Amino acid sequence: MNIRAIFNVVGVLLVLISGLTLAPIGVSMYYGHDPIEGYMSETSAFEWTFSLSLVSGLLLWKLFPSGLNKLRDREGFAIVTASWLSISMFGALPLYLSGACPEFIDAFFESTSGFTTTGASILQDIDAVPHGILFWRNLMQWVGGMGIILLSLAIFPMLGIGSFHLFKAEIPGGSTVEQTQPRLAETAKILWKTYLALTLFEILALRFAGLNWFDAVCHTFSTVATGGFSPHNGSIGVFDNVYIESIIIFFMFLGGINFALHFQLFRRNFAAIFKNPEFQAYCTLLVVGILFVTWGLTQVSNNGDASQAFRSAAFTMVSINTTTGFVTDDFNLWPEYLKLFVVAIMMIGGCSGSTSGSFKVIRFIILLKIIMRELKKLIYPRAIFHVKVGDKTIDADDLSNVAALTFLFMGLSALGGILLSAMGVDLTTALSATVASLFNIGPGLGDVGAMGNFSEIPAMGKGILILFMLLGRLEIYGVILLFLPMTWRK
Amino acid sequence: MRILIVGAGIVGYNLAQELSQEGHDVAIVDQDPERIRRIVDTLDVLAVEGNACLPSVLIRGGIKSAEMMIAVTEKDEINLLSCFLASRFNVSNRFARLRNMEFTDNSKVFTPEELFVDHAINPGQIIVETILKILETPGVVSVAEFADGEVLLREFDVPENAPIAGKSIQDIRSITQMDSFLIVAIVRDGELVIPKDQDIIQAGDRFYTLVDKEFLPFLLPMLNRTLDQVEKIIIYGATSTAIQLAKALEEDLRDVCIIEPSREKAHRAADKLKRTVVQHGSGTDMDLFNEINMKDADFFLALSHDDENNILSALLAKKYGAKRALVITHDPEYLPILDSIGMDITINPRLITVSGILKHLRRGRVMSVFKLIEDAEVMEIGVDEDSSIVNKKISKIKFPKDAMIGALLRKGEMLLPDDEVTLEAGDSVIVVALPGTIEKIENLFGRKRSFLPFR
Repeated sequence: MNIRAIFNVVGVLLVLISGLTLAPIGVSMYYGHDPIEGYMSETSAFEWTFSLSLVSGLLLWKLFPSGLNKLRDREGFAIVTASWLSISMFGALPLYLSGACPEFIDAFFESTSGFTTTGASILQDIDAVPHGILFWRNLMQWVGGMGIILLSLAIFPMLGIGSFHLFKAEIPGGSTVEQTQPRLAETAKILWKTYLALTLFEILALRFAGLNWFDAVCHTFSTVATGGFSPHNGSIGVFDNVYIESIIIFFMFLGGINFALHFQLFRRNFAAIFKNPEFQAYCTLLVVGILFVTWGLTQVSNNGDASQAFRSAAFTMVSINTTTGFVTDDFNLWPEYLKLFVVAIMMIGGCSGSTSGSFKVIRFIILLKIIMRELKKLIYPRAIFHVKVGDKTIDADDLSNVAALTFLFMGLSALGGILLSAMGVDLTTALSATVASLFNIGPGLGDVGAMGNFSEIPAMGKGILILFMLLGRLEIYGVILLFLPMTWRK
Repeated sequence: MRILIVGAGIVGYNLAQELSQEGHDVAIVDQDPERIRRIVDTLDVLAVEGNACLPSVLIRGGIKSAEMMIAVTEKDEINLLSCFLASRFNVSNRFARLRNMEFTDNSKVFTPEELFVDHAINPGQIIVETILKILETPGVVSVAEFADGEVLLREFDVPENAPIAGKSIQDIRSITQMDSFLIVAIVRDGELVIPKDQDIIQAGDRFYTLVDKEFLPFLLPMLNRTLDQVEKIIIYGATSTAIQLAKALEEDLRDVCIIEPSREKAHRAADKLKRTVVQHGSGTDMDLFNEINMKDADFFLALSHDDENNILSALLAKKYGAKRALVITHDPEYLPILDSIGMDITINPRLITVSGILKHLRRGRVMSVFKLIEDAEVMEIGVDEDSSIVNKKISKIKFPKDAMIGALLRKGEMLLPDDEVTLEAGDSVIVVALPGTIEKIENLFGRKRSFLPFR
């Protein structure tokens, strides 16, 4: 294992993080909140974070100059996992130092939830938190959505050599995502430019719809990243505005689409978008889900108001399916079968190569086709069937990868549920909190439901959920790899 | 004319033989000394051993004075490169056999002309088109086309319950009242006769008919056939031709199954096809035939590269209940026995390629020739200004007894050869001729006979 390369890249990323803290320093100076008693002011908390990460980053970067071109896949996974862990640690500093989260595990939970675009929060009264910290939470989501490594690839081209291993380990959807440009740095730049364009459009749209600049920017950050942090306790529900909800639905939907397809959109290659099998399945899933939930809600509400039911169903389905986790309606109060349906939708998620977490639609398609193939094999035992998505045959290795990943996701969900229950959390909360963390959604059911938060989970349980959020964001294999003796053997 | 042929496989050999007999000066280039020796021993052509991609080898083959280059090696790359070299040497006519569909089908990036090839012959594509035509016309035994596809020659079986059975030629003509359909030959007990007005069509006969392409759908009810009969098709051999064919067939939602003995090739086929079921197994495996319900198959197509396996598997498939069988044989030597062992349709890709190339060479003379059984031929012949029959009424032409004019083509329109019609320069006629009469007909038109080995 090439330890030096790991330290080197982590160093680069910490420098990047220190650069990012400049933005919340500006925000906190603008609003100038009084410090919480017994803690430093938020501005100085960010300044401390800035200096600490800059110094440690530069030290690591310069002390471990290493050839990235000799990277192997295992180092790629190790680097990505180590980077995400360390940036989450440093990202937690402002929250901890300013006293927004008095316990470090809470601050760590919050920042991991930010970078992994989960959107689960332990903050009980979000509206009381100073603006700089709120801005920082959403900025972490925005950066985490497209991927911090990808950002560094776009900014520091010298990382480009041999960093396909990093790309593969970080991008949601992993090997199912096609690289379209000859240079990785180019791909990274195109993805980030697309991401920036979406961000700008949404900020303007939300501002135009009546939000103030702060709310517009913060909500945009967590929408396009499909993260789900909101600077308000009531999430999007507080605005009670159809236009704002529609804008956010639209951009959540876009955030759940493969960014390679956005690039096709800029090139006006519409056929490529509509023929994309994953995009088709994603749209179908959303439409069917929304119709089903609308129907379900009209059955329970007293006056059977279809338009209100549709509004609530559309927002919740898109928010859950893209793994964003914004809420307008407390789905904790929905009938049991709809709650279970919401959890089931959580486990599918958006498209590969998007900012959404979870299992990804493409893997779901592949899984269904594997099942179809097994059935066909029973009819024609000697026939040869290939699993195809669109016209492309999926490699046998990728098929077993998907099947194994399915098992890992299911197994970890069960494991997390058992562990949390053992710590005294009730069954609904334990299971849904695990799923909401592992699949990077945010809100679950029960105590951690749409209007609740994760503050009541025991500290040990938070630790497990932090690990699960990272596992989910990095799609499990890369993280598990680090616990295998084989990885570390010389 | 000086002609340089690149590649001395079966196609190259047949072409060299054909062209040299017609009086052209032929040179042939091949890398295999064995093939060169065989040509030196049997043909009167210049044979050069060497790599056709090297200009020096082409110069030895006399490319500097050649007027035509025909590239028919096994490899598309070599054929393309030698055509390119030929264009550098200012050879004006360049033919190439290009097997990869990408060079010839609709998705092509460059036309053959842009790749320095004047005429590209893709035998696989011709075979796929031929088979599709056979499949879309139920009961048809062989197909050929004249006048750029305007006039179709079709050979049909006559089933027991066909309305047409038991009728005389005259009856049929008065029922149809159409001038787009003519029975030009009847095959009964293996013998071919040119029908007279009072001859009666019987069940179990086969007949050849010339028909306007628009009229084909109206012909089928007379034979008690409907268009959608071919549902289940089983193909043996996952060759690129077979894959191309299966692709076209699965678009029509037909039930297609491919049997392929090589696991690797089977995977390649499964990779390229969507609905088609690819079975890994031998073409003579009875258990597999049972598994895929061979007894319900409407058509069995043996398309592999191995002649013997093709013939055996087709025989077994018919034994097992497949309604009709089509066989591809690469070795022309097998052609004579295939009819007698019950193969419904046979196709020879090498001869298709030779005919495809010769057809282009012969423009302005005999336009195309289709061989029937027993060396009888259907020919499309142009009427030239200087021939002895121009501006004569058909009734005034002294036509041999065992031959007939099947159809007359004037500006793309098919006319029936009425006695009162006058032949004009620029017309072409489709003539059916029994072996003894071919020479006389050629004399009438003032043309030397062209031989096209087909079928």
